[in-house]
Amino acid sequence: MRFELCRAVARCQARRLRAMAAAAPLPAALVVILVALAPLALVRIGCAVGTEIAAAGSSADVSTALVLGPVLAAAAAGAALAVSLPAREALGQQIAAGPCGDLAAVTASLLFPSLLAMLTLLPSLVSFCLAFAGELPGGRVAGVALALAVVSALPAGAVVAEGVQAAGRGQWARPLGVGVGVGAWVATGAAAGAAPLGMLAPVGRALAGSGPAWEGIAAAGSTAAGLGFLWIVLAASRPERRSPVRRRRSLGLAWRIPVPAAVSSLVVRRDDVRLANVAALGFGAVGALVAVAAGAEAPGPFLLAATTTLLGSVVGALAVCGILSTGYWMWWSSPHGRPSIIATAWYVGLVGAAVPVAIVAAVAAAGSGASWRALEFVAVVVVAGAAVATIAGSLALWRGEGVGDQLSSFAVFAAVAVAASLLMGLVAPRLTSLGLPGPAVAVLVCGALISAALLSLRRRLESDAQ
Amino acid sequence: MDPVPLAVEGVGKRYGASVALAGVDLCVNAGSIVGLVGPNGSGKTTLLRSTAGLITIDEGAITVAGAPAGSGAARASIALVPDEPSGFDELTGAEFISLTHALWGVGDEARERSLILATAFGLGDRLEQRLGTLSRGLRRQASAVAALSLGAPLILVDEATATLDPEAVVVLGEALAARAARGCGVLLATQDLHFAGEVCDEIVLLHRGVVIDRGAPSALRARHSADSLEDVFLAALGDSRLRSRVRDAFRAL
Repeated sequence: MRFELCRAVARCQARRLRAMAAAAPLPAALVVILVALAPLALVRIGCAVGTEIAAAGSSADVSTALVLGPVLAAAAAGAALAVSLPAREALGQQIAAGPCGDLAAVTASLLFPSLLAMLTLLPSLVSFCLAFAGELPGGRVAGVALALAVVSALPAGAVVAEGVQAAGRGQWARPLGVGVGVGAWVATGAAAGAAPLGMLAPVGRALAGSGPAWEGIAAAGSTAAGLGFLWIVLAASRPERRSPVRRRRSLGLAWRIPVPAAVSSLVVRRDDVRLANVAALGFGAVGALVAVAAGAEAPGPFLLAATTTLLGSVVGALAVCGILSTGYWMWWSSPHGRPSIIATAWYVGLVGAAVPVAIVAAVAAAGSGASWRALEFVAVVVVAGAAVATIAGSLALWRGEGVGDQLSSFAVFAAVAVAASLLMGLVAPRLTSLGLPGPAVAVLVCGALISAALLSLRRRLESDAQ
Repeated sequence: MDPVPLAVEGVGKRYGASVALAGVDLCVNAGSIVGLVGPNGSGKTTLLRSTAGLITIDEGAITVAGAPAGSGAARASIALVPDEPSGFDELTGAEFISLTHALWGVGDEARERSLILATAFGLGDRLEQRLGTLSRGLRRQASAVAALSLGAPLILVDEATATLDPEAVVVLGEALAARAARGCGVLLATQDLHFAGEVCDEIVLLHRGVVIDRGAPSALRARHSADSLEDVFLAALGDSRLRSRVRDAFRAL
C-alpha cells in the first residue's frame, strides 16, 4: 500500500517536472547543465576558500564557526521545508479518507522531492566540502563529516519547526520535548567544548584536525539519521489545526482594495509562509546570538543572521506565483494592466523576503556592527534570493493543494539557486575584469535576475490563462 | 450479523466559537440511503468529514461498520466522493482508480465494477486523460467511479449532484441505489432536493449543526402539508415566506 502511494506521488511529481521542462525547455536545459557543472566549479571555489582559511583552520573557534554557519542556514531551510510539508489532506479528501497510514502519507510526500534535492544539491555540497576541507588540517575525509553535518541540520531545523507548529496548534508536549532536546543538544556540545554544535561537535574537531574524521562522520551520520526519523514521525502525527475559523483583520467591503494590499494579504495569510518566516526569524536570531557570544568580529554576526534568515523568508517569493495562478481568472480579467499585476507580485515577494532579513540583520548590526559593504552584499543577496525564488515558484508552482507540491518547488528552488550562483560566479568576475565597478556589476546581475523573474512570472500566468 | 454501516451518537463539533454540530444522532443501515439536507454552513460537510476521519469530533461517537471513525478499520470501510476532488492532478482517471483499488486492497471485482460504472457515466476515453485536465464535473464522475467501485460498506457523497450534468445525476442516483441494494449504506449531503426526494430513503434536515427534522420524503411532505421538499425545507427552517420577503427586498435592486 505504501509502495503504491509512493509510486503514485512520485509519478505525479515526475510528470509535473516534465511538463515544466516542456513548457520552458531552454531555462530547464540551462538549469540542468549548470547544476551538472556546479560540482566542478565548487571544487575550485572550495579549494580557494579553504586556502584562505587554512592558516587559522586548526583553531577550535574557527572550526566551530565553519561548521555552524552552513548548519544554521541548513536548519533554517529545514524549518521552511517542514512547514511546507503538506498534511495528509494534500492527498485529496478521497485518498486521505482511505486506509493508508499517516507515516505512509508523509513518506510518499517526501520521497521524490528528497531524491530530486539529493540529485541537485548533494553533488555540489559534497564537492565543495571535500575541496574546502582538503585545504584544512582535517583533510578531505573531514569534508565528508562537514557535508553530513549540513545534511543533518535539515531535519534538526524541521524538528524545531514541528515543535513551533504544535505550539501554534495548542499542543504543548511537543514544544516542551523539542525544548528539552535543544537543551540536551547544547549540553552535549558544551561537554565537547562547542556548545552550539551539540552532537556535531566532533565535526568541528575533525575539521581542525584535533579529532579523528571518522568520529565526525559517525556523529553527523547518526544525527542525520536520528533526526530524520524523528521528523518523519513528528510530521506523521501532527496535531489537528485548532480551528479554521479565525478572526482575521478583514480588508472589508472597501470599494477599492489596492492590488499590492490584496496580493500581500493572500501571501501573509498562508500558514506555511508565516511559519517559515517565524522559523527564519528564530534561526537568524540564534545565528546572530551565537556569533556574538563566540566573539565573532563584525560583520560576521550580521552576515550570518541575514543569510540564515533569507533561507526561510524566501518562501513568500516562492509562493507568490502559485497564489496568483490560483486566481488568474480574476487578475487577468481585471482592468489592471498585466505588467502592473506581475510587477506587484514581484514586489510583494521581494518585500516578503526582505522584511524578516531586515529585522534580524538590524538587530545583529546594532549588537555587533556592520559595514556598508556588508549591507550592500546582503541587499544583493536578498534581491537575488527573491528573484531565484520567484523563478522557481513560477516553474514549479507552490500550490495550495497537491501532495508534495511545495517540496518539489523547494527542490526546484535549490536547483535554480545552484544554477544562478554558478552563473553569477562565472559572469561577475569577468565584468569586474572589464573594469566595471563592483556596485555596477551588482546592479547588472540583480537587474538580469529581476528581468528573468518578471519574465517567468508573466510566462507562467499567461500559460495558465490559456 | 454485520455491524451497522454508520452510527452517529450525540456528535458535537466546534470551530472556535462557532458550533458546527451539536448533539447529532444518525443511523445509516445496510441497504439504506440517507440524505443530509440543510442550508450552507449547517454542518453537512463537517459531519461527512468527521465520519471519514478527516477531522476529529469534540463530543459523541461515530462508529463505522463497528469501528470508531478515523481508525484503520473504519477508513477501510468507507468510500468517499468529495465535493471537490483534488490531489493527484497528474494521474489519469484510470490510474487514479487503480490507485484507489490498490490502497483499499480490493481485487478484480472492483475493477469490473469500475468498468461498468465508467461506461454508465460515459467516461470512456476520458479516463486516459489526466485528472488536472478534466472539468470539475468529469473529475467528480471519475471520483465517483473510484469510490463506488470499492464495494465499501459505507459510501459517503458530499454535495452529491454539484457540477454533474443531468445524465450524470441520473447515473449517480441509479449507482447509489444499486450499491444500496447490495447492502451498502449511503450517506449523502445535497442541496438538490429533487434528487434527495428521488433517491433517499430518509432525509435528515440539519440547521446550524442541529437535526431539526427527519423522515422519509413522503412522510416529511405529509407532516408539513407541503407539495414539495422545497416547501418542507422552508417550513422546517421557519421561513415559509422567503420568496415574498426577498421579492419585496429586491425591489430596491
